[in-house]
Amino acid sequence: MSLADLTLTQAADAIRKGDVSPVEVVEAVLDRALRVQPVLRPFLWLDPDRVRDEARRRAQEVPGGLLHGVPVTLKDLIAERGAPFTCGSKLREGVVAEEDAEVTRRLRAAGAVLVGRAHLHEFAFGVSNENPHFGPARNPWDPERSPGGSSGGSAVAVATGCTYGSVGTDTGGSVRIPAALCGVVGIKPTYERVPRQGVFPLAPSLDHVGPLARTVEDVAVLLEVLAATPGRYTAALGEGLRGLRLGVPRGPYWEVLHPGVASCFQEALRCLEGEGARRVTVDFPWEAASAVATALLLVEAASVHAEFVRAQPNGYGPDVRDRLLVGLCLPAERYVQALRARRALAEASRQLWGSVDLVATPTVPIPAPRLGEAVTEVAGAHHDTRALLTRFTNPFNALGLPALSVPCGFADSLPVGLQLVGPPWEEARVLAAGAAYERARGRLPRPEV
Amino acid sequence: MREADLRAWMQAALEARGVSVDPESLPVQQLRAVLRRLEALDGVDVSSEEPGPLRWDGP
Repeated sequence: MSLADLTLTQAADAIRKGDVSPVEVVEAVLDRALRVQPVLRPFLWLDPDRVRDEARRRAQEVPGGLLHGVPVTLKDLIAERGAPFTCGSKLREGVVAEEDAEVTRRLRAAGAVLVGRAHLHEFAFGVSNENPHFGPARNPWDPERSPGGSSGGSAVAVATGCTYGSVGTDTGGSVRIPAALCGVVGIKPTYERVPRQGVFPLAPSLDHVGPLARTVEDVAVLLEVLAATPGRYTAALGEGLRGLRLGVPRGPYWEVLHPGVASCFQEALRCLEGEGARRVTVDFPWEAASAVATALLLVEAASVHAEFVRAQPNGYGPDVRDRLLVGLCLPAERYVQALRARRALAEASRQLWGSVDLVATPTVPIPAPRLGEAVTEVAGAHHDTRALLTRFTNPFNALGLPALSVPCGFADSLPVGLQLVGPPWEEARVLAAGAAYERARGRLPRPEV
Repeated sequence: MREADLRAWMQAALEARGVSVDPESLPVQQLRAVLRRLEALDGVDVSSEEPGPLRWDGP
């Protein structure tokens, strides 16, 4: 087994104990990355010499931080001093970050070695990771399929051992969707749990920063670093599920579901019940919560990009340009209505948390779609693929709730994700349940590299 | 609204914001689909809410 196949926690422990050096770990990861990059393109930029220099510097230090010498990758939407900061767009070609984002500073302070810049959907404004400027990142389980997005490069890099963990952003599902479609773990924490300073905005009232990795424990460690909450999440990981009230939504909104995904989800629920969780059916106006996310996303993104759209509307890829134009045309009263509706729904969600401890859903209703597949058939009806991919994730961006995606099986030989959502600030509960599920579920295969 | 009317409306709205785009390339169907999806907001009683940012107490 290559060192690149260790989990983040295993690699960090091995370095701390002196069993391996940061240089050895980095060489293993770079070897993997240089083989994977031409096929799946997880990175927009990778400078092996820069990574080696950093590893050698770390090797000279006494291990101190949680991530000492551990390779971690940032989505190219998060500033990293001295590295390209393209946000996946030709409009920013040649831009180099002059300062670190706050989360970058925290990773460096914890000892991480930053490896490459992860591929993404242009300006994070899409969930397929099909990027007309740089080509698509590809799914490690089937390169003809999308890895999901917008943090698609992050998920591919983690799934294939090109890095141990990655930091992405999630505005409508952009951490959880690629995590689910590539078979890795990802968490969107509570809104404003992790600082967004130095992260290029998509829709500021929906933007969240969150980690992806291969295990729940690994994302817990990364989240502790990103949120500056040492020990808070890892300490809870041993808790069981006995007595946990698990809310499962019902109604037509949740019935738009690929049968293989439905089967994996039901199996995951049985597994959780086998560990002591109790299933409770919950009702909530999910479609309205999703509409809130749609309105806020389109208008806020159009506001962020208004100046560039006026100057160079055709400098964007066609899909992003079209979404920005739609956002510029939405009536202001719809935006204000969405802001008011979000507050009403947030208030209603307080009632929900009186009757359940967590909510469980599939992360994405379908397995990874083929690249270029704009319409997907589910249960005999045709759906817009992009709307399908965000259907189960964006309500929780509107509400700002912590939401984890953890792999729960395969449909059509492609990974499926289980989404666990908790009350505000209860990342520890979400991660503990995810870890308990992961233990009960057992090992799943990894993609062949 | 008929497609031609929606296209003309969209073009005028964009021009008012200083954006000039070939009218034939406008994402009219996408705008229509989004407007339809946003109708779900009409089912939420917002009479007691003011517009403002999401704020959760804590942590």
